[in-house]
Amino acid sequence: MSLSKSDLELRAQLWNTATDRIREFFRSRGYTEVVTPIVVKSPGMEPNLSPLAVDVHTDGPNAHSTRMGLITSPEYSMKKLLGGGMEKIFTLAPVFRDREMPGQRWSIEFTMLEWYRQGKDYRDLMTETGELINAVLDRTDEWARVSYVDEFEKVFGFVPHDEDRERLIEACAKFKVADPAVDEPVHEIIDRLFQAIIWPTIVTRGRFMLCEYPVPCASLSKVSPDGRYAERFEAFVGELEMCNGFTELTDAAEQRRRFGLEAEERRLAKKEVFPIDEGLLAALPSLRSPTCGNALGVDRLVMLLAGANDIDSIHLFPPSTRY
Amino acid sequence: MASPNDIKKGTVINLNGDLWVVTSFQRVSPGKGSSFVRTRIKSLATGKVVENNFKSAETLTFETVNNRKMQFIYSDADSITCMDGQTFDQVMLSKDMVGEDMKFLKEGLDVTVIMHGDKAISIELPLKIQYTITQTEPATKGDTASGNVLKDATVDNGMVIRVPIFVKEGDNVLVNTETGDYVERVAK
Repeated sequence: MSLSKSDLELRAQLWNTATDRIREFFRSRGYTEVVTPIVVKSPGMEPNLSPLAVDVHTDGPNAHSTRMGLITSPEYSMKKLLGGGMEKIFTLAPVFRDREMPGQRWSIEFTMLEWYRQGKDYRDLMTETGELINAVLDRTDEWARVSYVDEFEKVFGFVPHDEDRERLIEACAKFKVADPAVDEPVHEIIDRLFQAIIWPTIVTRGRFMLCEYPVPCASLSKVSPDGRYAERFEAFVGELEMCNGFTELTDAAEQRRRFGLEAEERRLAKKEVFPIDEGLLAALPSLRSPTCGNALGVDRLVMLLAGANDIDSIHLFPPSTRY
Repeated sequence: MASPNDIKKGTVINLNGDLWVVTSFQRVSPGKGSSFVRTRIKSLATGKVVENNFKSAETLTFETVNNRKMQFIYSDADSITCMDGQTFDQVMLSKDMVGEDMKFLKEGLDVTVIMHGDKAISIELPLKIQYTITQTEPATKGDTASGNVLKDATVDNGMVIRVPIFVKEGDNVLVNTETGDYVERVAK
């Protein structure tokens, strides 16, 4: 080890403080901590993530090998537990995302805090998320809420949906944002406009919840009853993205449709396509509506606790030196 | 053809025939959504500065630049001067181009000067630089328990950084020049 004993102890202590405060926060609110599998057959479908694939060999009379992957999030397992009737659960799990760019804010391997609660929606979850981050950092910050679709409509004059490809391309030309490629998915074009034009105007707000995403950017969240937006949010501390929280989609048919689109996007990008998690789809109809869930990067929370700008500064084994 | 993921400070990008030098950049890889690189770029022709985002999947054309190992010697009102220790050649570049990195400079520091033709356009610092703590308050008992793990400290070039409370005056520490973070205390 090249780090001094004092540096090692300080870093270990930061993680102890953060995880103690997280567990205390959820236990005091009636959540149960659960342990979920790390190696699974369906590690994730999201087009922009690359699960680490592993071949697993079981021994004995039924010896066989199985193509599996390390989880990019414990989400699917957590939702199966909700389907089994658990009401309020949380987990701290190692997650893996291949092809990230290690350093500053990223690592191939990091720690995810996920929690789910039946009977509550994304608005309740935003309140709880602000309270959690404040509790871990021992602060009393106010968290502003910024509606993605409202900001988008103010600047571009419409709330984007899947059928708005032409209007989005026109907006790119008008606002001099790079020409989208012909096969660029609608959610990517929306993201280009948002990042170039809207982001610089909201990033200055300090601590805020960016909420109510355009429907094409719904991911695994439920669409609002009027179809205007997806019930999704992210918490930001300045430029630092902390989490993704949703009112969860509980409609299995719609979920299957979105998985199909994501699988197609993965095929086009020549990424490995893992099988759809049928156990997850089978569990979804048993979830109460609404159910909310959030995935928060613990490493980033520890960075805030340490006042660090680089993920290397908080690890006993700095990520940029591991790979 | 190059990838936006290869962008560094001092990279010169050819956008439709115009040359832009990267003055700062930040890679962004959202939890949901595709990764991109947020940049501030400065026109080599007009000096105009703009912000531009490049999706990681795009391809870009980089201009060839030359890296020269030099030492920082001094700065004056608007510019800094670096010298090649072998040939004693000196180059000047404006403080604008050095940007945020100005605060890390100290006399004699080894830097890489990025040259486009015979013009110095940027500098690259070592990823970690060693400094000596010249002033900091001693730790108070109970700080760690109350969550106070960092304090201010002034280092030998006058820069103020945040360091763990166990760091004392006279200690040598490494500082990360991409983030300004204290990295670790080094043995004397």
